[in-house]
Amino acid sequence: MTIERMDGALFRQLIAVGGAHLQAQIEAINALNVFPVPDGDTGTNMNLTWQAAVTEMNKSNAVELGAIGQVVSRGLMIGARGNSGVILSQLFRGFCKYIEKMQTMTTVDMAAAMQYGVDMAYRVIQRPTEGTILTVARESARFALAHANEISSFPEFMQAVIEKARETLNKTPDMLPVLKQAGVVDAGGKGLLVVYEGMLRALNGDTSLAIDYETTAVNVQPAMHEMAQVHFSSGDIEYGYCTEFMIRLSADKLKACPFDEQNFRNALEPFGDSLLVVADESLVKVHIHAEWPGHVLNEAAKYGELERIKIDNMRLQHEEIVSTSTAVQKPYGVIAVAAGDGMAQLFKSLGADQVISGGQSMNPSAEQFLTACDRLQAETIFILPNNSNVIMAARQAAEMSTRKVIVLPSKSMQQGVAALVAFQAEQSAEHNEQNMLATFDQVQSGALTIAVRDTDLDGLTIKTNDFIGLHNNRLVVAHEDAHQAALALVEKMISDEHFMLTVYSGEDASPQFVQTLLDTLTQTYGDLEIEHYLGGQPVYQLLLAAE
Amino acid sequence: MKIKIVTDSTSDLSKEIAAQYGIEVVPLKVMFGEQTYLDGVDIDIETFYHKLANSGVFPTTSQPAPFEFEEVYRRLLADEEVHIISLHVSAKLSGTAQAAEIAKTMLSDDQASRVTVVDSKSVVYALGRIAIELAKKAAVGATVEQCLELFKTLRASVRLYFVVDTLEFLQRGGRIGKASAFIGSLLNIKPILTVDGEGLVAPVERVRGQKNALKKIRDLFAADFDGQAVDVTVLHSKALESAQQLAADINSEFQTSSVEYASIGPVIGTHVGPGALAVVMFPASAVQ
Repeated sequence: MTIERMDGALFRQLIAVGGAHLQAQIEAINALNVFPVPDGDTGTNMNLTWQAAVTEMNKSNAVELGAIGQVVSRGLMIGARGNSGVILSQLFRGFCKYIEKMQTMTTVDMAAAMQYGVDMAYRVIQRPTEGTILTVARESARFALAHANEISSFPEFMQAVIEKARETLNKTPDMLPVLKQAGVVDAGGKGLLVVYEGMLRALNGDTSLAIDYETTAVNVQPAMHEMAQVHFSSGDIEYGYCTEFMIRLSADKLKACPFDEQNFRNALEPFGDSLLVVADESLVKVHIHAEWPGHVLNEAAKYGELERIKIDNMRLQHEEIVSTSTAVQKPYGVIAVAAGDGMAQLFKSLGADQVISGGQSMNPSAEQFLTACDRLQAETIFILPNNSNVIMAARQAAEMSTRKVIVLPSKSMQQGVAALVAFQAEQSAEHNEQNMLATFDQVQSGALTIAVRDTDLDGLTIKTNDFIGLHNNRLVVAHEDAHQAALALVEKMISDEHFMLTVYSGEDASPQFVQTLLDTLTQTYGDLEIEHYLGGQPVYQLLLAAE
Repeated sequence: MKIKIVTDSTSDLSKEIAAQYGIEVVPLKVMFGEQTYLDGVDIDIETFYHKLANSGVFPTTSQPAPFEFEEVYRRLLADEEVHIISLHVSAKLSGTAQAAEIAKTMLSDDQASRVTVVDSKSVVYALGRIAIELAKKAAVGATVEQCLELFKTLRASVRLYFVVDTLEFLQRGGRIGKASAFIGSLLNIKPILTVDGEGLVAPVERVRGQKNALKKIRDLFAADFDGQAVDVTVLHSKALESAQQLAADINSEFQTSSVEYASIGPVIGTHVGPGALAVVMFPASAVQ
């Protein structure tokens, strides 16, 4: 079978199976970890990003290619998290933008759409690095553009693109020395290849990777609802109840009343809008906005047992949203990302209005930032992502928000604290932005953690369970003894310019270890003001700030 | 015509200096519970900080009563050639200048016409130093207008930054002004404060730790004076060692015409608490 034109239905399968394949490979992608520390997991981030698109798509009954693309694009945008997730979202948002007016596409269109996506991704990256997902995407798109004319069959075309992508991926260690040192290919690039491979499966008619919609279905995104809802009044809502439930099909009932997905959909159609029906052999998931939800339930109960029934009054929700949206605004709001109860409290005490839990091993999504922005009644909102792998998702949210949002690209919680200390509510937004940015260079960030595997990196031989010290996110110290590792790390961080050392102890740091260290530090660095705070952060026994 | 300068005890002028320049200093008051002390008259700096640390009672302060000004004014104005410039602590921080204005209304018209009350919009030695310069100018025969002109120039050119060990005292005394947002942090945060053009205590920046704060203060002065020679006074409340270190650092980083120390007196000490450090700088060209 040759497929030379792709329509909306086929595109849906590409997105779905691409996502299922990605989900199946999460662990393999996560394992491509450069540093021997628990990292912002690339596979997890890319998957959560993509699943948000699948969820949006499943909620929509769009039929045309372009319209499906728009829905996918929106899902990618709100779900984007982690740097690779954000780049992945840009690649396919660009793709979907290119096809937004199309009903079907050819391989030539697809190649152009891929290129469009690459352009869009490059636009958000300030300093593109070779040997990453960007390189894989760019080389694949370039190849696709050059060969789409000769290959009109989609499966063949996709197969050729995949070969090019794989070839490029295998070259990434030659482009990026850290990959070579760690003996891995780029994780983000691998993730993209996995998506392409899933798409090829769909093109070959292989949908054996059934999508587990129970685990991927996410509740309706409150942030998007809010943004959309301020624009119309509660009285405008024609169908007042958002109704979601599942039918566990029962053999007895099916005898009397055989289930046919299309007939069922037709039966529900008159009750409302935003109808979504997804069915497999035993379960049917239903989402509908209806004025008389009971009618919908009665209809559904003919086929089996009803489960997980959730009915929300959207008019009331809308009134609440509107009333909070029009409340008095304060001039500034601050959103900070923090890991650990102590760190969260600290950020609140310094004036952060919203603290999003997350960090190294759990990167918040653009949507979490959007929700936080929407909750804040502030004219200008500052976001402190406090992790290099969270900055892009925050920027994505800033771009989407209807508010004035300024992302201060803090790469550590220590930088975030320094920035917030410098914040002054009575100054202008511009003044504050400059002042807070200026603090980033004035603080040296250190972190002590435990190696999760053996490796040789940056001239250090590291064994599993060694204590390793990172100075401004670079690995500088490895030692089997925590005390020695911490002292060596502090020595790397401190110079004449520093007057103050802050020690944030993590949830795994024993009080004796911390006290002994503080005593030694006080003796060694007599001139330094040393402060200790219970940060309670996971992963890192210690976070250190020299300023 | 003879011009006499009257100021108040927030100016941190010692008795000797005041006598040397013929400046009248009207004391404010510090109350520990029932006990009232005249600032710098019945309580000296050592005794005050000792009581502050040990008495368990939190002191309060009050402005001089109008009749206390009236008494001083009448005494000076008995000489019919005398004109008084009464220069006082910022009206945003204290009712002292207002008490002086009320005292003026208690005088005869002729006497009242010979009193000019000025809100310095300043405090501590920034005020004290301006009072000295005005006294010097008056001594060489300047007119009231010329003295007031000099006041404006000096007020515009002086810079004052200070850092307190804890914001607790400013907060309790209600003199925290715009700096209130700094309260309640879990970290050792040092706000750098100034007295702004309106005479209010205002935050400039905030940093972590005392040493960083003092470094930041020097950076702020460096930006303000941009290589000009400066006349420096380092003020402290029971923090002589830190003040000396700070003075040494300033001496090595700035072109200084003079570096002096002064203690922060009981009334201001009540509001900043022990461990406060302040630096007052004038351009060397503006003062003699």
